[in-house]
Amino acid sequence: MKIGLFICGCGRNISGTIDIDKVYDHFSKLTNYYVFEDQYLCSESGVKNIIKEIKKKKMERIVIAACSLKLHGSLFQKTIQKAGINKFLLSFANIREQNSWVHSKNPIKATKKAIDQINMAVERAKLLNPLEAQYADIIPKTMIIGGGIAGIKAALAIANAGYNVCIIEKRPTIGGYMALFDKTFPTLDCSICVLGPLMSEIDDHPNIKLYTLSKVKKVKGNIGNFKVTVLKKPRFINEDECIHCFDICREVCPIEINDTFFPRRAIDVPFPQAVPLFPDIQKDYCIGCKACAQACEREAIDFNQKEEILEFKVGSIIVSTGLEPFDPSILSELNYNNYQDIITTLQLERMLNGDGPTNGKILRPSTGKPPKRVSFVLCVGSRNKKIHHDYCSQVCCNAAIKQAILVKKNIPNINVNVYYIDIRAVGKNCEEFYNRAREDFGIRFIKSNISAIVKSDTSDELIIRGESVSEDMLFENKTDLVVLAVGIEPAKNTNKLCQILNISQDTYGFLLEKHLKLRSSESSINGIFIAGAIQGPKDIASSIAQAESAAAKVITLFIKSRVELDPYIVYLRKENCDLCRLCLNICEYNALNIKNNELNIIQANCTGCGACAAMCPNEALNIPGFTKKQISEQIKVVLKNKNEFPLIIGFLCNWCSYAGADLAGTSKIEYPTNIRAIRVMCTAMLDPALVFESLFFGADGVIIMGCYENDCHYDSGFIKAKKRYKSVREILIKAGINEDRVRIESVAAGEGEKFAKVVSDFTNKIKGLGTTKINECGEDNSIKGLVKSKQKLGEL
Amino acid sequence: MNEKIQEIIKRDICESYNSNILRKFIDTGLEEIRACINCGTCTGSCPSGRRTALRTRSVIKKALDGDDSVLKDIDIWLCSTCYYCYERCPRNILVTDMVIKLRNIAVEKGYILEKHFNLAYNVFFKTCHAISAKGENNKKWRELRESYKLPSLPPTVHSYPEAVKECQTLMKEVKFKKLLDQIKKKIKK
Repeated sequence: MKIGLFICGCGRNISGTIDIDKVYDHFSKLTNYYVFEDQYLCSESGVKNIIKEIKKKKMERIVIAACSLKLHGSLFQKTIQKAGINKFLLSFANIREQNSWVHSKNPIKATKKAIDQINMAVERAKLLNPLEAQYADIIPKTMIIGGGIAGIKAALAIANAGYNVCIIEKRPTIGGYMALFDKTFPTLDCSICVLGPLMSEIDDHPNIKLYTLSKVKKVKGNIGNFKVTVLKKPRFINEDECIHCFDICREVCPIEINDTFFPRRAIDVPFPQAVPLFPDIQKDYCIGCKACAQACEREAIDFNQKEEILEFKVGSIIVSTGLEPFDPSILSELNYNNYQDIITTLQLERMLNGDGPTNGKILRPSTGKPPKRVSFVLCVGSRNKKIHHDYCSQVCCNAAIKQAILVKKNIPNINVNVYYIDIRAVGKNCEEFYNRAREDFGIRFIKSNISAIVKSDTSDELIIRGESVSEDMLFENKTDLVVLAVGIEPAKNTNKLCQILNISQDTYGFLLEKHLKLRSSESSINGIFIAGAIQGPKDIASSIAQAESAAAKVITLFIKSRVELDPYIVYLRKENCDLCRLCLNICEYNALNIKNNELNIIQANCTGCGACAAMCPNEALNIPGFTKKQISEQIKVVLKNKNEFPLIIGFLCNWCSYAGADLAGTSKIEYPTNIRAIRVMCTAMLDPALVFESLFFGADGVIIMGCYENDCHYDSGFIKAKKRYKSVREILIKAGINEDRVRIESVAAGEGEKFAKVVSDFTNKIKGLGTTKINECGEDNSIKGLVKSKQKLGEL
Repeated sequence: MNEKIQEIIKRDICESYNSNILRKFIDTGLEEIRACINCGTCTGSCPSGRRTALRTRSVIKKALDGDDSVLKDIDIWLCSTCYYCYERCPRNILVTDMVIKLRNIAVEKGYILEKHFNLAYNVFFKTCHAISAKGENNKKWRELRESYKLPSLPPTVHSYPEAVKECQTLMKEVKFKKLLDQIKKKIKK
């Protein structure tokens, strides 16, 4: 079989660490190999060269040794298709993200590892078969989860292109946080004057359907065809009858909810510009006096409304659930919970807002009088490793500068101090805005992180303590009102939503994008897009930009009308099947059944997790590209030329851990070279026999890495793998092998650092154990072990 | 991370900062100081600094810059090791541990207050106990012990005077005695 091997130097990214010439020499000596190297395989000339050489040499299988297949996999698939080869006859050796970028200090070992990786890819390629791509129709409808500014802009863009959109919003109104602001930086234009018209456009648009007080409960399906279950809470208002005269019902309501910043009645609208402009009844506060029902002439109030379950079928989903302001109560030195006059920027925003609780007046909450001195404290809940908020929230500096200016405009002779660590006035016109705050408005900026806010013993003033870093001096400044510029967290319950959607989060809980720069509005799952502050802290302008980018991607998808799906679902070799039914028990998708003494696969139901293939004792079931034979050959080729101690075989799940390993690469986190990673679609497709095989053929350790139990792309794949792992350990003990040589770990796609740490820890551990001893696991034992493993698995 | 790589990184940083004090910090695993963003939280939080001239951030900054004068400075001995700065530092820098390390370096260089030296000498070498139970002043205390039916002297070197020798051997073994002698010489000079 003629194998074409293309090695990429990637500028100095790969060739700076790995000795490409050595790799080239190694493979060009072998027969049936056609080896080529290029500085940039992904460039136009590189791609053209690949096509030319494939045609000229009549190659049958292609191996690309370059970056991660997650980055350029589809590019090279298309390339070889152009050269006339089935695009699934391609195998990748990831020598950048999982080699040169993480082993830059160890070029010799990295080069050896690269040869191993290429060997593995070649062995896998040899056993690849041509596959037919599968196509599915796309339902040209989008669901947008979260109706803040990002959701609104994305919805309008898609609806204006002629496609249907439904917006799912958990609050009674759309508009999100932007609807609560008074003015926006750096232009100081009125927030709701910009947002209001967009909100009414949503309401009127024929292609947009809005569902408020609703939450996503369940999502099933793939790109092009998602089935979504939504729970809609009752508003207790008959929306067909209500004519938005919300004054009448709210005036008669006896229940006032006395929140300083969000006062309302039990029946009320959130704010006068709300969309839809129906009042809602807060069930927790309503005493059921029905005064409102009597007052309403239209009889629009309906206390009998119940929760509704709605079913949707959509082709794509945009997640734009936005942010949650940081709760400063956990920083006890700031005494936020203890003194009324310490407020957050969001609460001040309510005071500045003409529709807010104070009608636009700035008052001290404790006395109700205007303050003479206001202090802003920046970086509250941002850039703080202690509370695992290492990131900069990006908007708080600008927001605080804006508020400082508004406060100064509101009360001209007020004394405004801003305490900062670093001012990050990033964004167009923002630095000028900051300068104006200093020059035109005379706001004082003091470089200091505040250490404590306490109350004066003698008066009702507050005292701010800190060190003025520029003057090397301690200060205790008196002030009347303290505003904490709180940072941004991902929206509440993002964890839960991610489990429902099966998408990945980064280490702070924000949604993980496919690529930070190139594909920032795509989630880890095809067909699910992200927009706004749920991807990371963002100001309004960036949220909108990302929302429209997500919308553009949705429209691109819909224009195509059908979508190509991975053909990685299970295939049956009927002659091998002896109807043992082990596969039937483990499949959770009803993709297998037995009729007339024959096993059938229902292709539409199969997700391709491969749990059944791992159970099959006769290799009757296989996932193409990930057959037992293919994985086993990869293991054997590494161990045949074992060149490192300890040598660890790693099985990485495609969705979480492989992406995590790539992230370790892009973050350039070094870890030992000892791991030889094999990509599997899910840890559930890993047959324990392969773990034993690795150890018997001389691997010193085996590490299985998958998703967290709740995040598994195939619902319960990792749980299945964990169960098997338990029996693997038991069998190893019986076979006389230290059971600690095998480990299972959860590494999410956002946990590059954890991946590196796990690999380092495990390598050190195995170093301590020494090599796997042959006399401990002779051939007899290996067979026994395998038999036992089969028995054990049958019991599961 | 590979040990060798760590070595290289450490060396690179020491060279770029050109500071002996920093090298010592890094040798004891305190390299987190590189993360300092000069926010002033440590100084602002310091209860000792509110009453004395101790400015934690300045002390650390001087040490980072390789300014040896920080070792002579009495400021480093004013820290009460209350760990406020340590708890509040947004960069997870082990501030208090660094002050303690700075004291260690200062002592090695012979910068120590005479009172501290005498205390260290008496407690850790000469007597091998911190609080004396003997003498007329401690009579009440001994009686108190007896009233609880305890031996009048506690089971320390007071009861086992022969153990003093052992402690002294130990102090010699760990080279504490040598350190004390060196300091003594330096103080005399």
